[in-house]
Amino acid sequence: MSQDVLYQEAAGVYGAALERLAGSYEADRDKRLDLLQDIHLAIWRSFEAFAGHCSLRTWVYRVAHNVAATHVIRHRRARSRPLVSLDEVDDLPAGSDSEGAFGLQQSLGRLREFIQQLNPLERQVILLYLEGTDAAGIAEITGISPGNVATKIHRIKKILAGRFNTISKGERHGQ
Amino acid sequence: MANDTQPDDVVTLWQAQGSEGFRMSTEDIRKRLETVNRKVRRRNFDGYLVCAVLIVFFTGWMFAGMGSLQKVGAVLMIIGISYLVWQLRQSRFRGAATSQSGDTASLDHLRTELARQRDFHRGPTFWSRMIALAPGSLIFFAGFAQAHPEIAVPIRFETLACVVFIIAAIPLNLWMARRYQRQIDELSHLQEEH
Repeated sequence: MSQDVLYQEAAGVYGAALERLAGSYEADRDKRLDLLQDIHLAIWRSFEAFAGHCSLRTWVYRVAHNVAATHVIRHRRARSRPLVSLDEVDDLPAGSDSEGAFGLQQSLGRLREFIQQLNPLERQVILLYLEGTDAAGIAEITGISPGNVATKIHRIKKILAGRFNTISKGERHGQ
Repeated sequence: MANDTQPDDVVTLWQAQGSEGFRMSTEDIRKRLETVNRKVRRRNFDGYLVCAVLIVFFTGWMFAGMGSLQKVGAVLMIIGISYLVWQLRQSRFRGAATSQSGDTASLDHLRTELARQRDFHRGPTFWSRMIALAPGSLIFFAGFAQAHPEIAVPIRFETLACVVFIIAAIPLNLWMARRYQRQIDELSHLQEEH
C-alpha cells in the first residue's frame, strides 16, 4: 500500500484517538492544533518505512506518542508545574470542585488536566489504557515490560476510581 | 457520596468525547511540510546569524587587535564558536531521527532524547566545548588588558567574571547530566520484569 493510502486509513481509524491524544499533551488550543498537525505529518512520513512488522495501531500510536513526548520534553521549561509520576500524583490536589457533581465537559476537563500533570511515559500508559488498549498492546507500544504495565494499570484504575468518583451515571451516558 | 464510578466508566467517558474530525489531505500535508521546513530554516538562520555576528566581531579584533595575544584569543574564539555551531547542529539531527519511526518503542525514543540531552552536558561533547571556548575568551581578555593597560582594572574584573562563569558552568552541567541520567535509569528499570 502507498504512503498516502496508509495514512488515509490510519487517519480514518485513529483520527479521533489522535485528537484526544493531542488534547492531553497540550492545553493551549493553537499549540494543540500545531501538535496534531505535527503528529499527522510524522505518521504520513513514517509510512515511507512501514514494513508491516507490527500492527498499524502499534505503529501509529508509537509515532504519535513519540512526537508528543518530544513536544513535552522540548517545551517543559516553559511549564510552571513539574511533571510527576503515578506514584507522586496522590500528593497533588485533586481539584477544588471535587465535592460537587460534574457535567461531562467538566469531568473530561479534569481528566485532561490530571493527565497533563504526568510525565510523558506515564501519560502514554494512561492514554493507551483510556483508548482501550490491553496490557500487552501497551507494553508493545511503550516498550515497558508487561509486568510493569500491569502494575501501572492497577495504579491507574485505583487513581481514576478515587479521583473521578463523582461522575453520575446520567452524565456519563448523557452525551 | 456514593462511589459508584468504576474505571471502565471513565474509559467510556473518555472515548465518548466529541471529535472535530481532523484530517489532512495530501495537499495539507505538503503545505505543513513546507511550513515545518521553513520554521527549521528560520530557526537555524537565527542561530547562525548570532554566531556570524560574533565571528565578525572577533574577526574585527583579529585585524584591529593591538597585540598578538589579543589576536590569538580572537582566532580561538572564532574556532570555538564555529565548533559550538557544528555541535548544536549534530545534536539536533540526532534527536529528529527516532520520533519519526514506528519501529521505535516510546521508551526507547524517550531514552534517546534524554541521552542526547545528557550527553550535551557531560563527556566529550561538554568538555570539548569548554576547551574550545574557555581558553579563547581568557586569552582574548588577557590580550586586551595587555594592549590597553590604562583600562586593565575593569578588564581584570571582566576576566574574573568570565573565570567564575566557566567554573560555575562545570558543576551546573554535570548536575544536569546526572539529572538526565537518573531519568534514564528510571526508564531502564521499567523495561525489567519484577
